[in-house]
Amino acid sequence: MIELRDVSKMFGGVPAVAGFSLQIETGAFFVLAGPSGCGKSTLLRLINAMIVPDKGEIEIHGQSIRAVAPEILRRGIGYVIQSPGLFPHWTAADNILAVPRLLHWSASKCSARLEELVALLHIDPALLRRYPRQLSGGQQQRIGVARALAGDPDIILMDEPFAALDPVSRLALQDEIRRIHARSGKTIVFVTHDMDEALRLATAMAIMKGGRLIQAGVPLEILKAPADDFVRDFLGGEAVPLRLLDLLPVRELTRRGWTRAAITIAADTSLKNALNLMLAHHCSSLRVTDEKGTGLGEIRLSDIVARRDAI
Amino acid sequence: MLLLFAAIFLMPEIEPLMRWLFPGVPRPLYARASFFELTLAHAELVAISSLAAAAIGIGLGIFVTRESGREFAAMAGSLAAMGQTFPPVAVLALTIPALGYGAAPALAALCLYAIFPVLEATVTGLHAVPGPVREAAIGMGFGRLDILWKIELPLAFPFILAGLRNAVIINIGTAAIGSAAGALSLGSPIIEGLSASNPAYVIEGALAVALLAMAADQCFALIEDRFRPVRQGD
Repeated sequence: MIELRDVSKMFGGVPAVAGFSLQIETGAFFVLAGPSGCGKSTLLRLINAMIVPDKGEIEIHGQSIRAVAPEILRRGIGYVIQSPGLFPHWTAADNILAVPRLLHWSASKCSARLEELVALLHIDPALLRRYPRQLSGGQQQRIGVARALAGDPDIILMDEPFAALDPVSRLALQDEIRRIHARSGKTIVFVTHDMDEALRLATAMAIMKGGRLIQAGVPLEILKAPADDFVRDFLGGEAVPLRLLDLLPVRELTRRGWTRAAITIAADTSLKNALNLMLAHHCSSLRVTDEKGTGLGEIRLSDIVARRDAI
Repeated sequence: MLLLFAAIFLMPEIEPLMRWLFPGVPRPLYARASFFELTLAHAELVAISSLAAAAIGIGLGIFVTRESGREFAAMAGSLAAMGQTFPPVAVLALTIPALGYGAAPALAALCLYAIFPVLEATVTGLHAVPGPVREAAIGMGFGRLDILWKIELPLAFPFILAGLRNAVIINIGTAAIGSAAGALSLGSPIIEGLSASNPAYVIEGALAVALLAMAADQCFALIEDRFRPVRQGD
């Protein structure tokens, strides 16, 4: 677990982070969200000691990060940035293996790891021989993520990694990282100013403004009970009910029993998708099935609308 | 390159041409030393001073782009620039009393002269390393020495090479002055020719210097080409 206690950092008299306390559970996909300049990138760099706090303590698994040499600390933490900062004079493969080589892994271990990552991230092997300038933005960032994962770190820090990508690449990589997180149980700390991205990915999140922590918790709770107007506006203001639907599975509002509805929907998909489907097919109820296709019951439009407050 | 070798070894063949061009000159071919010896001595002067200038220039360049040396950047730049605006003859005048006649003052003057292009090129090259690349390297756990050696210097290399090329070509021309201090070089025929009103000597020396410069330039072009694909691209 990563713990920050009363952390403060000033840059030229301006507080970038002020009195910040937070606990990030091991295995969480923790999103730091907030408007530009709120200090979230600074916070990320405090965790891997690229920035030293003026005040406060930062501990990883109970040990202060100050107890370890910064380089050693960072080799155990993956780091992905927006640009993505691939080394231009190295091939994609050499870029990916940067940390393993710093850790003096054997050549066989390195090539085994490379193969694993290629499979894990669905990287086209032909790209490995290329130089970064010969890759598209999406491909570069995929290599960047592979590079961060190469040393098999427990923690991965990601600073708006997909912000510069086209929407298709962005969605693909979001899915990719979500999948990797679910499979590996690694702790991911992800910075973004995009609320949609935050809600898609987070298992826990914190909203920041002006260097301060405004609200932290599970996305569902933050959506249901925003701490103040700022949070509510940041979450989308009047779009919050629809956002909530995106986080709730159809299963929650399924009425057991037989249904006349012709169109089916999976129980594990979101209520928002259910709404979409109803709109698309001009019907007010759907048949709910599990992954195998067995009927579980019915979901009604009226329930979605009426019971929203009771959720 | 071939021309250079031809000039060095076949210079004596020019004698008839020189005799025809300058009928009033008693000894049209510089014979105090063979042109091969002169070229070798000249190349030696250039090589040693360039290596020293490279070491100092690159070393300083690295220093002033580090956190600890940043405040010295402007000062180093000015000093190096001053080193280049100082006429080499003046440097010779100052160093001869201290170092005596011969190659030593020439080396000092040439070295001083060459530091500026190398320093500037090194600083430019290191500053050209993209910020995100440096940030990624730090964030991944590269140590400072690792970053310099594995990331920054390889990326700055094309710039540094260009600066070295500059320095060497300039030095080839300037080394001729070394003969004014008594050093043996291709400047020897030039200077002796100037003081003895012997244009044949001057032409022979100047021709050899020019060819040497072109040959060196070609060498550098070859080296640059070899490293081009690795250079950072668009």
